[in-house]
Amino acid sequence: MKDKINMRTVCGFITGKYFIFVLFILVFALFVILAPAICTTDSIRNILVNASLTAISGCGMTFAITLGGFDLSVGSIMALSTCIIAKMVPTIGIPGAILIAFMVSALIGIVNGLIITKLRIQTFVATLATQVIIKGIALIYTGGLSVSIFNFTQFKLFSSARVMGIPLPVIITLAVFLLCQFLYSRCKFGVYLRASGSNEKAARLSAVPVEGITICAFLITALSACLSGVITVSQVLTANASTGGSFALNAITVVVLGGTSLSGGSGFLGGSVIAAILISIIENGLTLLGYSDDIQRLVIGLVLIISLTAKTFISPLSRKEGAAE
Amino acid sequence: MEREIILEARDVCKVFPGVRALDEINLKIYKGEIHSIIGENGAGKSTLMKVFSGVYQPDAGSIAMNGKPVVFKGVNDAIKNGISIIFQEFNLMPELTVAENISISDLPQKGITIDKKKMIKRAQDLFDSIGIKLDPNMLSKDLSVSQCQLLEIARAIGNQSQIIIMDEPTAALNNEESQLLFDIIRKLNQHGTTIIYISHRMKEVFEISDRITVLRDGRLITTVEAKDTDQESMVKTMVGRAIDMTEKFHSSHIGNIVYSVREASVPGLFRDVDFDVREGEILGIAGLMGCGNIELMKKVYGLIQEGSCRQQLFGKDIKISCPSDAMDHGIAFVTDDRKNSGNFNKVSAKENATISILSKLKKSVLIDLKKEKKYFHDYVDQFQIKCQEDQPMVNLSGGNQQKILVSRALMTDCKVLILLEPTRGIDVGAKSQMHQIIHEFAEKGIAIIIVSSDLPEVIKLSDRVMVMCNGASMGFLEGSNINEDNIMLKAAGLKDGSVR
Repeated sequence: MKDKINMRTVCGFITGKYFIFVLFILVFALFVILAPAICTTDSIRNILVNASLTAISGCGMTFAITLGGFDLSVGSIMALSTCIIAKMVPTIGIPGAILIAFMVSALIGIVNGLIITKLRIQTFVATLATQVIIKGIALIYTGGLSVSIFNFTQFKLFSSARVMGIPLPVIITLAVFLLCQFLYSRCKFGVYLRASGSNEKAARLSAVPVEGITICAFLITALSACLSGVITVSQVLTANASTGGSFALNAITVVVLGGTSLSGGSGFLGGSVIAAILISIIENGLTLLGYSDDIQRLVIGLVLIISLTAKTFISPLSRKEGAAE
Repeated sequence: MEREIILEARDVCKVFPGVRALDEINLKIYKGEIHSIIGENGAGKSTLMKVFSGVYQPDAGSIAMNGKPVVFKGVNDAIKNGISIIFQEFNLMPELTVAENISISDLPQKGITIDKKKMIKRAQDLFDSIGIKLDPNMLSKDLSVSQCQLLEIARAIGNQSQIIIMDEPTAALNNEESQLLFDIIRKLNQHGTTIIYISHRMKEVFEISDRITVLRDGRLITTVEAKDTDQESMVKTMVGRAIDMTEKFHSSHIGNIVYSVREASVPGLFRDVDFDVREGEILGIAGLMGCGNIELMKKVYGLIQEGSCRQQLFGKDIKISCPSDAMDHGIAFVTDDRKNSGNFNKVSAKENATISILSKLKKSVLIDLKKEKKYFHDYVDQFQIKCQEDQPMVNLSGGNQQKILVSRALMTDCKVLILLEPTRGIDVGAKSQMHQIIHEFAEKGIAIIIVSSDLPEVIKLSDRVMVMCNGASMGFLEGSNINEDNIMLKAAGLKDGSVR
């Protein structure tokens, strides 16, 4: 009897919300054995910095997916904000350029939300369309050329500075995560978000401002994309309108891998962040083992399938176990 | 004795396309009473409640609360004015906790954060005050159906409503839970809450009501004190429709038993139901909503996996575990839910009709389009279906859609045809054509089973009627015993055994 309960708890744990932690530990342990060099401070720092971009946009994307939607426009928003910053830094300085990038991104997020709520277009299609539009705007704005700001080396500090040995992007990621987590689990917004994603009709009947919540959610995804853009441009001091092609899909990947339900109502920000780090570990680990970028893509795809199948196959077991009690 | 009137319907009318759902309803609800509303399927009970709670606006007439006319723009508006409704289908948010579901319209705040402690305490206090046991921290998707029902009731009570409307609240509850619900209702009533209660179950209506109102075909027939009447006379008041018996069909060549079902049971839906249907016979299966007749048909057709049943076709045992098994044996099925499980909306009428017989239309790897056309036009002509062959299904009228679905079933050369609600939502002309079609195919020797909530239809078409009540068969009616009184008495669970 006791064994059964334990078995159930264990199954419930590894197949439920926290599956990503189990997967994370397994994969990390595997790489520690295969490529011990992964454990060095430099390597860990590297992994975390690489993960920070997807982790930040993954946090934003978690809100859109909790609402039962997608935001495919984040890649273009990120590209446009890098272009805005690169073009504007020489004339109005770093803080002004960043501010304008955020304002434009916020506007795009609100427009996304309005298209979805007022024109009643599904999130997938609406953001598919705005993604193309924003990319077009970025291309027109830059004339299709790369914009470089190599002279502004102080901007590089934004991504290379360290506080007590921890790189600034990692600290920013942590701050974004904590802020999002606070919004999600402690504020009215979070409950309304889950209510709207869980059963929109019931939410409306319960006087939940579904449309306002939708607009806010897409505003947050847009802002998170912009922040990723700021970090990107400070890393390379170059902007190009055609960057960020796979950015939206990477963000969706970490959210799904992290355990947020695609059917809406149940998001897991912690899972999204851990999943971003997990993917970064796989990439860095495989590089250390001498595998190319192509192989890395392949492995990440497999990990996604394995993690989703494991859930479908193990959860019925744990449920049966439960019914037998 | 003058009593204070809290809610009043004044000449309320509501019309839906083709149906007069409410016809000049005048109803006074007294303050602090438990008022039950009864009536057959489609009598207008739920529509009236939706008018009271702001879901629908009356087409004519008005609603008055405490003597003053009011207009509710929506459910939230009604709640603000002190009227809460618990719908038949749940309106919970599955990914939210029990406590969040209760407080969602009025989340307690502490600064910019939610005061979780207060929210949980509020839920717990509410549960304690009405004596139900639910864990406020549980996700509502993990609750059982009856727990969901209790949570819905608690939410309505939490709104501090003066009037609570309950639409079939016991449909998903077992006896013990129903008793708990009645205790809650009585407790609320003692505190002055007015309850409007809708149910098919006579016994519970008499157990808790002060007054009872009977609706029939959208009209208010009578309102009586519960203590001045009894169950049997209420059932007779619910029916009492004049049916033109000259229209009744009689099948002329009823042959041997074609199909029989024994000991069909699905836990929670129905148990130990037996029936046979003969060649050329129309068997009606009647009962009030939730009696299990629809589910019984879904089970025998292989749409429900749980439970058990033994089936025989021409005396041989057959096993049906999915619809294609049933089709292979020559059993065809027409759904009661055209929109969700019948139509392929954007596909042409022709393809909608022939989808089940594509393997018969094969010419090597292709579909024999000439043959397909011929099949389609045979039925279009025979059934007088008004459509173009390429017209998308969704653009057809309800009656023509239904004819297409019936053609789809008949094209399979079935021996047994199961029809669920064959004339739901179609106009009068198409309805009588449909009855003619059903009768004709019975005359050709097909064994037909009809499940319909439209009693006159069952009476008109059936050679025999099985009546179900709460998941059990109440026996069969034959010949002149097939009339509304007999069916309703059985359906309400008042008369058991077969009447011969």
